[in-house]
This record gives sequence, C-alpha cells and structure tokens, in this order.
Amino acid sequence: MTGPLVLGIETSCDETGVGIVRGREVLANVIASSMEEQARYGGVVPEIAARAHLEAMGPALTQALDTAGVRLQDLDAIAVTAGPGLAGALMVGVGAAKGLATALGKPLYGVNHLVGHVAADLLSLPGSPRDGAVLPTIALLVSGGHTSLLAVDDLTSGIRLLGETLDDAAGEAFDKVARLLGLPYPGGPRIDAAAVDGDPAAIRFPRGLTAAKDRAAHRYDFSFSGLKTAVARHVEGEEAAGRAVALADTAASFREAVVDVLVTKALDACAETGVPRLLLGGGVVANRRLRDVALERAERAGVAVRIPPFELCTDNGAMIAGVGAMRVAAGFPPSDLGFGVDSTLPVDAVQV
Amino acid sequence: MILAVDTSGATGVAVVGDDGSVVAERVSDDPRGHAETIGPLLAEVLAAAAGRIDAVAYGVGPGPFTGLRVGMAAARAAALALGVPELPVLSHDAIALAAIEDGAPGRFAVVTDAKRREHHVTVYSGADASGLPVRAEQPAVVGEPPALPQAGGPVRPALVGRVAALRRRAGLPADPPEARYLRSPDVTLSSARRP
Ligand SMILES: [Zn+2]
Repeated sequence: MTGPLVLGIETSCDETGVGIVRGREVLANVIASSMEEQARYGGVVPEIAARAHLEAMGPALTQALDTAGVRLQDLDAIAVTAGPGLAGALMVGVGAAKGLATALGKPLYGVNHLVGHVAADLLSLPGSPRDGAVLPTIALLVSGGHTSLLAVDDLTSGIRLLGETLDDAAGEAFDKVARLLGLPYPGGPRIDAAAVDGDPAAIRFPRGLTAAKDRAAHRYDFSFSGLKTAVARHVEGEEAAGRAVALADTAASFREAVVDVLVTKALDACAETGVPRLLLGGGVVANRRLRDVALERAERAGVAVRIPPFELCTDNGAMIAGVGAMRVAAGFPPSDLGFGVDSTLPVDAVQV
Repeated sequence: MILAVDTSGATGVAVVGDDGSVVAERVSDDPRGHAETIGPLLAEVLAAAAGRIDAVAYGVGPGPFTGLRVGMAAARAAALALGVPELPVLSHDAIALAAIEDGAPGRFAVVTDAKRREHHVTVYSGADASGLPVRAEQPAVVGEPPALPQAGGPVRPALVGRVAALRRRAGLPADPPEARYLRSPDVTLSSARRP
C-alpha cells in the first residue's frame, strides 16, 4: 500500500495517542492513558488529563517513530485533533503538533476527532488488511466522552450529525452507575463483569428519549441522566426496604437499558435513511453486550455492522493520522498555523 | 543559536545567539490564545534562525497551567524535531535576569499573579559570576508577597533564551523539565462533551 506518510496526535480526552499511517496502513499506534490516575476520582479530571498529556507526549512520539521505523523528516504531514474534546487537553496536542510542524517545515492539518472515529474504519493494522469503509453508512460513536449518531455519505464533506447525548455520554453513565453500585472506575468493564449472571429483564429501567412525544425533536438524541437517577432510586429503595441490592440483576438491567437505546436508535436511523450499514466506534464498543445486541438485531433488520479493531475504536492517534492522510491525498491545503482548539467542533467540519 | 519559548503568561518566542543576544523575538499580548498564536510566532522566528538552532529553551512556569503547557509541548516537540537538546528555564529567572540587568539591588522577589488572590513568588539574592540570578528561595504560591523590592512580568522569551545561553556557557545544568504547577490539580470532573 502507498499513500501519504502522516503522523497523527490525539489528546481530546484522557488518552495520549500518537499514530503513524502510510495512506490507509497503520505503521504505529501508541496510546498512553491517564486512566489509572483518574481512577481515584471516578471519572476524567480535565486538569489531570492535561498534565498527563504533556508528560506522555515526548515518549509517545519517540515510540511511534521507532515502531514505524520512520524519521520525522520523512513525514508528508502532521495531523492533530482540533476538537471536539476537553479544551485544555486538546491544547497540549495542538501545541506539540505546531512545534513539530514548524520545526520540520511540514504541513499541519487540524482535524475533527469524530471524523477520526469514522476514518478508523478505513485503516488496516499491520498483517491484517481490511477492505475500507463502505459508504454511505450510519455511524454510532460511543465512548466516555461522546455518544453520537452520524450519517456518513463520504469522509471529505458529507458527515451529518443525526443526534447526540443531551447530558451524559454513555461511557460516563457506566462510570457513574458503577460508583452507585460500589464498583471502581472505569465502570464499563466492571459493570460488564458484574452483569455476567444477571437477568437483563429483572428491572425495567427507563429508555431515555424513546417516548412517542420525544420522537419529533429528539428522535436520534440520547439522554442517560434519567437512567442514572432511576438506578440510584432503585438502590435507595432496596436499601430502605432492608434488602440487599441484587448487583448482577441491577448491572445487567442497567446495561440492557443503555444498549437497547443505542441499538434501537441506530437501527431506526438505518431504516429511516435507507442505509443498510452501521459502523460502531468509540471505546464503549469494547462492551460485549453492545456488540452482541447490535449484531443480532442488525442481522434481523438486514443491516451490515462494521466494527474496526478495538485499538482503533478507542481514542487513538492513528485515526487522526488517517484523516490527515485522506486530506493530503485529496489535495486539501493544510490548516492555517493560527488555528485553535474547538471543544464543540461540529462533525461537518472535517478540518479546521 | 537557541530557540526560546515561554507561555507562562503571554505567548512569546525568540531566537538568541550563544551569548544570549537577541536575534528575533515575537510576543503576542493575547492573554489567551496560546494554542492559536504559538504556530505563526514559531514559524516567524524559525525563519529568522535559518536552520541554525542547536538547543530549545522553554519556560516551565510558574504561570496559568493551560497556557503554560502549550509552549512547553511545542518547545519539546520542536527540540525532538530538530534533534537538539532541551534547556528548561524557570520562567521567573527570566524576569529576575531582566531586573538584575536593570540594576536591581541585592535581594529581591519576583512576583507574578497566581489568581485566586495569590501570588507566585521566587526570592533572589543577586547575581552569580556569570551574571545569572541566584535563587534564595524556590518558587511558591503565597497570599502576601514578602517585604522585599519586587520585580514582575511579563516574561520576555528572549530572556528565557538568555538565561539558558548563559547557563550553558557557564557549564551549569538546565532546570528540571517539569512544569512548575505549584498547586495540586483541581479535581472537578469533566461534564459530558457535546460535540
Ligand atoms: Zn473519541
């Protein structure tokens, strides 16, 4: 495979990612996480994430170059996440990227994090070639930082936001409910483990924004704060009644409510737009139940599901390099060196 | 020549000669906008250096964290890209050097705003044989500055470069590379990002 040699930097949340791609082939994908430092707080603390990015950046850059076996001088361009994300965290990546680009005299592309998640589906890891993304597609991106439903016609200009979370991201809901249930951070894997022998139908938790009255304004939007409150009420109720909380059933029922809403809305989008394809991305894709329910219900609906390799689903630099490579290959000019970060960058802005 | 970057206050970049003389210096007064400004400013001074940079100096604070990190990240990345050593500098040392070169008397304090009605303070006892400021007390966050003559910001990036150059010439080690946060992180959790 050939194509532009691009280094990508990602610092939108708590993962410091540096990736190197040649066209669609991933040559290196180094990810350093501050999750362990965040664990004692039960969620992502922006200032801790930003401090960790600054310390992790140099080692991650060096390791990525070593792994890829390329020199900085060989690069065709640098790409960096300009948004959306945590502003202070994004700024570390943008600072590093501008330092690299100006010292090397290489073009710099400030790109969109969410587009990166979609572009991840184009990439191939060493030794496991994949056929690139099939477009158009509906994309469901679920992580600790975002929950977005997108309609993707093409990756250069045609991404539309169908809906997103109005309060907590799905991954955040897992973290908060884990805390309610006395489970440590990060909540996703802990709730998964706790739910193994649970009955997902034991407790009927609410499915946010799925009532008929929400259909007009929020057909594709998500809300998880009501669900979190319902779990809290349930736990309080059991305790008040002198009963032990049935951990497995509560965890399984909560997870089922999240997964049900995510999959239902995604497949509704596929049906409504007539696009029989669904791309899953973001760290919550690690959740086995989400994958199983999505695959099972998609098959019944005649929708093909694509899931990039897990290391390309979580926040990573390779996907950002991938967007950069795409922009270079398509002949787009680099970003002006004066661009800033945009914590709410809309998904139709592929590049700043 | 040394490339110098400091974003402990405003965004500043400079190129200085081996003796600390100023070759080029650019400062943006925008108290925010570090992430934006650092790119164009770096491009301008690097053009003036015409490929003859042999070290990158950078201010490690103290100063507002978010901006401080932008310059540190950029400077470290530039050093990596150029394949040259990093020369970290306590940002207050640059203010102290300016004060000494302006004839500051013996003992004095560099005082900058630490927000929340507090100050960043570093106490100096004068200059050493190479003309470099000598710290009598390490930087700290205090409510009330000490009763000493005061020197204040802004930090001139060229003087960050000059401190690094003079230190290198005198065979003295650079400062530790870590940011001088001087405060524990604020542990407010992030709210959901709404892209
Ligand atoms: Zn993400």
